[in-house]
Amino acid sequence: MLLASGCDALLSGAPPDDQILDGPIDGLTSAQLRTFFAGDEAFGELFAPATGLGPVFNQPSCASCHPGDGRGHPATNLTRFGRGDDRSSIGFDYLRGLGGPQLQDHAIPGYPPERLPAEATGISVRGAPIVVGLGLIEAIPEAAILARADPADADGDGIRGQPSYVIPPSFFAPGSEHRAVDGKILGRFGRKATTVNLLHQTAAAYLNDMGITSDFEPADVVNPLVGGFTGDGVADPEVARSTLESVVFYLQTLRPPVRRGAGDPRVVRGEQLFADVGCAACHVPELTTGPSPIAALSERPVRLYSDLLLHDMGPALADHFPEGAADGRQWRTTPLWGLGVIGNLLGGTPYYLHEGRTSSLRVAIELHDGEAAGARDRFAALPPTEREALLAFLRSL
Amino acid sequence: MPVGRFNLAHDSPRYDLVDRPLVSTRIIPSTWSDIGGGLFGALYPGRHKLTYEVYLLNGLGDGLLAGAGTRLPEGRGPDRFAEDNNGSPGVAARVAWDPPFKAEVGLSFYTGLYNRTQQEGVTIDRGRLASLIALDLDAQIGPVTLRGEGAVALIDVPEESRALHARMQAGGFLELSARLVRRRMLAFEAASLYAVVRLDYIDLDVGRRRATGERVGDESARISVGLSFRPAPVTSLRLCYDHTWTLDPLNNVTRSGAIQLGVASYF
Repeated sequence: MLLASGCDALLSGAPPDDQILDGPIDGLTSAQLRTFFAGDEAFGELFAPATGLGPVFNQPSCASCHPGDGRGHPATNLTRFGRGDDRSSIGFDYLRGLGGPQLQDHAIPGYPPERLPAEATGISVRGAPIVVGLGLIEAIPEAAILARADPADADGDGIRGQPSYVIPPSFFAPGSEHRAVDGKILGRFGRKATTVNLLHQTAAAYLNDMGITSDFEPADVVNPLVGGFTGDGVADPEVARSTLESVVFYLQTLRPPVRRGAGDPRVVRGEQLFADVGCAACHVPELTTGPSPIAALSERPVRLYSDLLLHDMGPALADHFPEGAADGRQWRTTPLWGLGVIGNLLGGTPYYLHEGRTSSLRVAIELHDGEAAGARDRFAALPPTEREALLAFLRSL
Repeated sequence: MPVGRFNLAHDSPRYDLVDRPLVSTRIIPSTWSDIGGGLFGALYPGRHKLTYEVYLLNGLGDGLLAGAGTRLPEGRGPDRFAEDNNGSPGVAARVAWDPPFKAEVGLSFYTGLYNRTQQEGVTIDRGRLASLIALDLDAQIGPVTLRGEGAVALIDVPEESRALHARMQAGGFLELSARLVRRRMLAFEAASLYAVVRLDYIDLDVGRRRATGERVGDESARISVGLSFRPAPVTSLRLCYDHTWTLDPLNNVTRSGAIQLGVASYF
């Protein structure tokens, strides 16, 4: 015993599973685990100019924005911008000639990064979300998401929930589970649910966030004020298809966060209050996956605390940047799983909301408005001990 | 390269720990050699000795703006032994004072442009300096040896890269080594046993984050202890333990411990 505790002090060990986010979902085969770890390595790869970084980019690796597979630090927030009426993406000017819609504010040496143009009126600063449990989210049937949609508020509860139908990329291969509506597919990933699956999300992030081309996104993003053919001088595609696919598999099979203290009476009481005040109307505690080619993801409960729909969150959280089906006040309900762990991956300080503007869960709730105004007000009206119980529940996720 | 005493005298048998000091490998990029020319000499005022050396050389290249941040060792590209990337030589110099007892104190610096400034005669960027200043100490008092080195690096990083790349780095180490025994041991006539302890610290990004005002991490601290058995003065068999605390750029701490066994000799 003494020897064991001495070794613990002298030699380091891995942190407990419930304090971190990485690790594969249970039930993967050896072949799947090999792909998982190949994807894990690729997720951490730091790109440099010689390996294709840029010419303009936001960060040099996936892990730079998603440290420990968690959410991004405010220092790595990215900015999207445009100009016009924020009620719809139709007619909104994404200022592509000035580098829009995404501001790539870093560049390889000797190349000018993009600058936020003065013309921008819709400026959306946002942090990268946590990336665990995404395969489970991807495997939730469309019907389960659409069943909760109520865009016209037919039930009169003040909560609408709008599905985010977006035009899929040319490489998107619809499966039997996808139902196109006017050529659009239900989006479920990203702060405004603008990407339809993890391949779409990953290929877009490689290109737009790191300037890394792939078979799926073969042309570099350049600073349009410099010129259209001023790439980074590295032959495209800059990442192998197999590498990108291993990252997709890695994201699909990262296990969801492990709960802490779920049986604590205060946490149990908080969970009840979470439902009672109406948080659970949008932050739906559980959905269920459908059949998946990855057996470990099939027919599984997914305790993500999200309905994956778009909601008006009011003026305080509005970014005035319509994107896909979302207007300048709408956001996809952020899954709450991992809420109690994200600070462990950000130097001890948790950052909440889409751009990490607060480290206080109470403040984050108070900033909810729009469709969440009722739940926010009911939370504010709770006695202090009940509010603390609800916050304890959130920290247990 | 005469920058820091460790880089000049880095042979492993001289030391009693397995790992090299952090400041001497991560900030001063030992082992660091380059192509160039210069002069060196010594003065002997009284019982003291003053040595000097100064060189013009190719210097570090733009690889130092690496993916992981500013990493001076990445600036030692293979091209440093060929054509300079900017046609502007770097300068490295060191002066050292040896008092009339077994000790040396050295002060050294390096400065030079690291980036490509012209291509086919056309200016593509202004010159950007990478500079290092180092202070080192090596003193022997009876059976005890005290060694230390501190260094500061200043790098002119382009505006667009400043969120990812440090403009200043700093660090140092202090090592105390004591001879415990010197006598015949096993079959070795003049064998000796040393105990050694070293404290290391480096900050690869000195500064604060513009977005939140927090200190940027990218730091490491290490404590190392070891026993070194020298059957002969130029051969060391060592058993070491080191414990390292690493702060990533977001200030997440990881802790690692290692037990190492090493042998170093000349052959």
